[in-house]
Amino acid sequence: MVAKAVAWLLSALVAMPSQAQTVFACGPEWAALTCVLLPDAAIHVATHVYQDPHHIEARPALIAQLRQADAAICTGASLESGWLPLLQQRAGNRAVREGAPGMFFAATVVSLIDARPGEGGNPFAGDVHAEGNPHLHTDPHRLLQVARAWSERLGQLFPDQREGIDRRMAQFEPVWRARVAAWERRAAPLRGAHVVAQHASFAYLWHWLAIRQVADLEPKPGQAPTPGHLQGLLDQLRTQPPRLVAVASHHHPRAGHWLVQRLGPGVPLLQLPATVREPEAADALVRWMDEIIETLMQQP
Amino acid sequence: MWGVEAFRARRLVPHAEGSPGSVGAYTLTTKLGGDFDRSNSWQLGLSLLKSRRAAATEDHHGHHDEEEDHGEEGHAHHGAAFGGRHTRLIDATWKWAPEGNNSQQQVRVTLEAAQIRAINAFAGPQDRHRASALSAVWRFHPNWETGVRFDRLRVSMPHGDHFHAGRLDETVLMLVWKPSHGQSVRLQYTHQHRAVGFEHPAKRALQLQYVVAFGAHGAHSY
Repeated sequence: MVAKAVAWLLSALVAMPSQAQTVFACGPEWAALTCVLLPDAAIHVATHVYQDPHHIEARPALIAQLRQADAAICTGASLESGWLPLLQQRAGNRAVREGAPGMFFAATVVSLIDARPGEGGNPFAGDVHAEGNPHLHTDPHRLLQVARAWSERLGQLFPDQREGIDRRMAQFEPVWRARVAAWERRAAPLRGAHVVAQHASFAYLWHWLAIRQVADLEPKPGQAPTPGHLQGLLDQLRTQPPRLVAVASHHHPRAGHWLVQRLGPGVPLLQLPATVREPEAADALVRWMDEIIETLMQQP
Repeated sequence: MWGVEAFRARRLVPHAEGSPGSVGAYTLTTKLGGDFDRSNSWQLGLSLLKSRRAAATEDHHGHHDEEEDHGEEGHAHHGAAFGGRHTRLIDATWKWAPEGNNSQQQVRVTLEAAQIRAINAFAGPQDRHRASALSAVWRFHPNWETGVRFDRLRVSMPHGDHFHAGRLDETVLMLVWKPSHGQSVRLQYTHQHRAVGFEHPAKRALQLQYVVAFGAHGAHSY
């Protein structure tokens, strides 16, 4: 009787279709990249374009998602340091614990700008990331480096999917390179332009397009703009107004509005998506960068 | 999420009686939760604490531990002021943030309730402690939060072989300014009222706190 039951159970297990991989992504950009490389995987995205990635809470839903994951991709460089360790601890999933091959950090495979060794953790200095600026996905060259390393890692984690992952990476790379060249041509008139932005969300984008961010709406990294700071910026910028003022979709545009109204009609306020809008959509990454470049170029 | 804990609990109750067996107390906890949509999330927690240590049988008044000079006279309890063998707790939280972007705006509402039975050897089914609290906090600006909290306490104070009913209600208003992610300045107004059985309720109290967190801080836990 027992043998019969065991045999039935075994046959039921064997007959079950092979489960697709489950991947947890801290940001929509990494979910979009995973969709490109492993389109059949179940992908959980912890954040979206209207959320500030620094200020996420370890919600019960996120704990449940991380618990199911076979692999996880996050930015690292302390971007998620406030909430990811909590999720890992509560989820208790060995596959994605710190140091496990299933836990991948994009910041570990690229060089970061604006590293400030020894400066992190000071509560009076704002949100300073000692490792460097973590918003690296806004540089398409670095994004490609991450794509290569992530495809390699996914291939190691899921050997039976390796062939497909390698094939899709080989398809993605030339398409992305061609788009990067097109974006660089399109945005060439902005080379050397001065811009004002809120936070260092787009520092890699400016760096890539040779645009200079001359001022930050935040008095200190991660602190909301204050009236005193904005007044100081106005005095500083009046003589040499910037080409544009840019804030991210998750920022409230009120501070930017205040500034552009006083800088005169020539300075537009642009609200740029800091990450992809719909990570599950095909070409999500291309569409996102298209939107950023077109928004930047639409102003006079 | 489930949790089970068992411990000896030798110091859980001051001057605990009962057998010095291996397991003195155990707890059972569970947490459930999820998202309703992008803007709304919830959590429900249930926990149960069973103590096999017999609780203190002394009066509420005049019981002091080793440290006599603890400041406020008559309040030198080192264990919980109101304890018992069976504790049940329930807490429910609902959070709202437009599009889930809690750095700009957020509302947090929490309801907590606790009940303690088997206060001591003389306690019948009607002799129990009950407490509940309802709090609501609104972050209306990245740097500012305001909140209100209502507390209700209904206790049975042991007096030899019988109990006297005690009650206390409390209303708290607060305003928080966060000059940066790791710092907060907190102004709190507390009003205690409808006190029965409590000698010195804090009728009105005003507190100003400055909290600074170096490294890890609690802002990201649910």
